[in-house]
Amino acid sequence: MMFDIFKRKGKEILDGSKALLSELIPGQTATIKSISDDCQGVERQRLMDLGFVPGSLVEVEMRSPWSDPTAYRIKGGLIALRKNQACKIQICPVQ
Amino acid sequence: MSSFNLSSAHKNCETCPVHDKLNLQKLGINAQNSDFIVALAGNPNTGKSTIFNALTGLRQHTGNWTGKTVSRSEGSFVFHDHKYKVIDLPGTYSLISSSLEEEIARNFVLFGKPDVTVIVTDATRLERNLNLVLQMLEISSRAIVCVNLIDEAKKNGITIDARALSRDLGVPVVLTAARDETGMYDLLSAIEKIAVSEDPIKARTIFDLPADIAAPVHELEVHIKKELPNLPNSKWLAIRLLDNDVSLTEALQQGELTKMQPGEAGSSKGIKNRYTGKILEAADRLKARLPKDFHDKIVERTFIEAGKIAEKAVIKSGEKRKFNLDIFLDKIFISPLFGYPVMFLLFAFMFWLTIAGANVPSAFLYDILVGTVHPFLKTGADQLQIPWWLSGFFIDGMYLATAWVISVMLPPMAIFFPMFTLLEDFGYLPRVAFNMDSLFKKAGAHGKQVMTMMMGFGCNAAGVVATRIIDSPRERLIAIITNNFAICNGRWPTQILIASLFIGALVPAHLAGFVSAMAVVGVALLGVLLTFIISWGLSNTVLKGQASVFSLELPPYRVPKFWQTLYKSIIDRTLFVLWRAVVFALPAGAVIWLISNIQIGGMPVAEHMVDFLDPVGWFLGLNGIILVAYIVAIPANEIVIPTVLMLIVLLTDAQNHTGNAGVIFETDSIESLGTLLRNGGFTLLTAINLMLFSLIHNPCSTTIYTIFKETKSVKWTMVSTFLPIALGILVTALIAMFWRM
Ligand SMILES: Nc1nc2c(ncn2[C@@H]2O[C@H](COP(=O)(O)OP(=O)(O)OP(=O)(O)O)[C@@H](O)[C@H]2O)c(=O)[nH]1
Ligand SMILES: [Mg+2]
Repeated sequence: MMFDIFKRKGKEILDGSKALLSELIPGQTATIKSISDDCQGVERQRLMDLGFVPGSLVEVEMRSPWSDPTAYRIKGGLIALRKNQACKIQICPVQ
Repeated sequence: MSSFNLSSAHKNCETCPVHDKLNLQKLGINAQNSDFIVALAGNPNTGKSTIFNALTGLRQHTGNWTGKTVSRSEGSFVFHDHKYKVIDLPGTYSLISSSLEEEIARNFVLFGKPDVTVIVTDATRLERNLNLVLQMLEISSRAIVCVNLIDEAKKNGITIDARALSRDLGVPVVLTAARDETGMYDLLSAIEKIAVSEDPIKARTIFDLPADIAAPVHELEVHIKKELPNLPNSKWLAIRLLDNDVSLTEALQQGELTKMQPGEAGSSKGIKNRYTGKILEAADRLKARLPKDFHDKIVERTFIEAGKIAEKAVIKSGEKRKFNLDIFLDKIFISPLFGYPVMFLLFAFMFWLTIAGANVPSAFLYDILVGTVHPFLKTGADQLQIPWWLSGFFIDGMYLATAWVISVMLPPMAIFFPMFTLLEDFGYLPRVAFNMDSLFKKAGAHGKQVMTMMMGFGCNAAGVVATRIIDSPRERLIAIITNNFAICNGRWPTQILIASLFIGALVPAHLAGFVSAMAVVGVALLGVLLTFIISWGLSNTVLKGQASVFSLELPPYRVPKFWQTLYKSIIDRTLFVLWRAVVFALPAGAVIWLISNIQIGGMPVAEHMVDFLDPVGWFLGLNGIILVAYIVAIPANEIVIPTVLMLIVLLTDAQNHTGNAGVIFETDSIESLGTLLRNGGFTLLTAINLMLFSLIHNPCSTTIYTIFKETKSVKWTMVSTFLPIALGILVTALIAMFWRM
């Protein structure tokens, strides 16, 4: 598990792009690339229902006082996600 | 554009009373023999309940947060000679997810076969809403899309082209602002048109699927059509079955779907199995041919389609507003610096206002009901020579208990509930959940638990029902068990009265209000702390598990309609709760009078009970009277204080040998209650422990019953009942022990 994360991170740093939704800070915008495969079932479905589907534009709006959860603006709605979910969403940053 | 003009043209008619009388007749809950069934479905927080209320004249609770409605409710109205039954469904994000309230909504549209489904959408979030609309149209084409909240859209520079939308969706589209009842006439006409029309409606279908998916879906669809030829939504069913939809598979196995076949209602099990067996077999076989990301592809497809339609129908005026009030408010309410202090001050202010504001009207009511009316009734009864036991039973028992409940409960509730409702309508509650989620996560619980807790501050039974918004069963159970630690309105009066009489009395008069408010806030905060501790304890022992997923929608802030909210919260919540209290106070008053007057061995039953429980009471830093009161008050917490007062009067009377026990002696003002309690042996320790015990003891009977209904488990009902009472005994006993050291 741990190693997987390192591997993935390493590759993405090579790409020169921030790649997980959880890594964005308030004010940043990105498009959704995909939802990770280890997020399945109800959890995956719920994220998709809320608009976290490939191609959607997402903007980080604010963090809670304890820095988790974070609220994202997506498809007009403001949705709060915990960090352990946001890190399962891969993104392409938008300038 | 044109539709805006259309609706404003109707508006003049609509506001004219003659129009209303002629056409729309709101019938409330009288839903018998209706000609048509109308379902209100849609995303959460889009105004379904508001529309429901506008149509039926009922007052279904609304609130500015997702998940306000968790079970369906019914009402009816008459429009142009037809009677319609309306069903208000819980909000859903899609028809696929598996939370309880979503299943309720889906099953109704699927199995309840409404004549018209009104899909209510939020004009400011149309694209995401269209995702659900497209899925809905797939299962029922007899639908209307109601684009609500157009007033809010207008403010944000958004215009909806209803014609384009209607053309694309193939069903009527109506623009409304339900809170002002704008567009209701259009909506009614559209409902009528669909309801009376016999023609099949050709709604937009999403699924022009990619080839590798289309073939298997089509094959299964053919199968279903062959076995169940009259099913209206076979393609959707095919897709859902291929997608491993468990609840639909079950529905099919149990024959719910075959019941929809005309003439199959009473079919025997054998026939059912023949149909369903074949279909499920085929589905299993076809699944192998599907690509792995079948499910994702379907969802993505729907969103792409929704995006395309929204692009054409939503017209945004270019300039972005410079100052965004929502963002500004969130900067305050959610800031690391101000978030928590503001939250604390807001709630402390509410409690202070409740306590300080309730004093005068409470004393006033008390003067009238107990100080004036009661002696008047007694004198009247004497003059009419009604026997003492008869007037005692009714006037000293039932009337007096009720009078006390009203004067102690009504004023604080009439202040607290409207304030809470205003806060709820404003959209603040989800922000509290957002602020506090991290703590709940650490306790292994769900962030939405905080919203169920806040509902619990009103009524624990309502709080327990509200836990349906939590998807994960484990976290839902935690929320149910701990809901009792949110002090409900039945217990606020106890807190407030005891705090004002004993804690406020410790400080100079001008500080009394503030200090007693802080004492009550302290107890409420202790309840919150206990919620965390118990949640943490449960999720590390019997309810072990990881904190599950959490997604919370933060709605836009909405300026509440002040007078409307005030009126509604008084009628719905305040009087409703007061009514319940009265219903319980009447028999309790009778019981108290009886146990005070029926003698065994020369001593009233109540006195035996008090004597028996006194040692236990002493051990807990309470007394026998309080414990007897808690036993009498198991049905409802509201009557604890009145019972305590009546029992003290009885015992004092008995000592003074004044006879006619169980009657308050002339305490003509509410302040003298303090003296009465002190005479009855109350000390500061008794007061503090009474406040604590009122926080930490078993839920009332209604809540216990609700917990059983929601969990369907005797075990968890027992845990929810006995855990708090055991904890309460422990806490009060410890405090009493240290106090006396
Ligand atoms: N400005 C404005 N506010 C509205 C309108 N319709 C509803 N509201 C407000 O929106 C909020 C949500 O309304 P509800 O009727 O409770 O929504 P719902 O769809 O029943 O929500 P759930 O039961 O959670 O699915 C409430 O605060 C309403 O007062 C409208 O047309 N305009
Ligand atoms: Mg509702």
